[in-house]
Amino acid sequence: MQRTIKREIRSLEEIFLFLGEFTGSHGIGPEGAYGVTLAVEELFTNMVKYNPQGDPDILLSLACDQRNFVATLTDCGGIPFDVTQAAEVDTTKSLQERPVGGLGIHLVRQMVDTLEYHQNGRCGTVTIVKNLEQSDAFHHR
Amino acid sequence: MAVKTSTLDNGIGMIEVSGSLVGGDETDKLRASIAGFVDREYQKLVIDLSGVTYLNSTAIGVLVSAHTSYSRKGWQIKLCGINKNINNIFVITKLTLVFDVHDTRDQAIGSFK
Repeated sequence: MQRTIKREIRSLEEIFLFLGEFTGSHGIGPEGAYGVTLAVEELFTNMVKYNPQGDPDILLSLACDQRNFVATLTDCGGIPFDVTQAAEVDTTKSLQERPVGGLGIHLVRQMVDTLEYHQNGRCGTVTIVKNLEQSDAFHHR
Repeated sequence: MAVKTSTLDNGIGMIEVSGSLVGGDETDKLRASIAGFVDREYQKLVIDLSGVTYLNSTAIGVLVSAHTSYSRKGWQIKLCGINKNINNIFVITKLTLVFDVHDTRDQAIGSFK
């Protein structure tokens, strides 16, 4: 399933609804749903905030099988940003010592099992994969 | 989503948040509420997150900023009522080592020195 989402923060509500419908109809449990929802929301928010000159819409695609829940965000135009190359946040430092920003990408890295980026022409695609075989990621099939 | 503020007789400020905190107006309200207590010099603050269902990195940034403001002044800030998913975020970001987190509001209030 895929949906074209307007590049604006208020679109988060639509994203949450889309993810909720998808996870509900595919029997994905709360842990799997939460991890991917948070990752998609953080990545989308970064695209809105840091690539405002991109195309008006961002493409969100969702897929899953018995093993994995996969979400991809395709962002065309503007400035390409390879999220996998973003600096790690040093969580061992005190709050005062930590640089501002980067927390969202840190959360994405921790909440999903795979984070990939591919640039194809003027479009960058971020793919995240959550393994559903762990814990309560799957309610039922 | 709602942000409610109140004060207790013993000089404690209370912020009760419910719904989702995703960096929009609701997060701005939380930021403004915290700033209001700082301006009025409430040196003890409890933020009750028991009604929060979802929280992202922007909202965490607001909480971190609040903690920094309070700790720099030697004041105290407590969190309470965080659910399993939000606690997981706090663990991932190691903020469980920074914030004083309590299960209930009463426990948070009772923990002030």
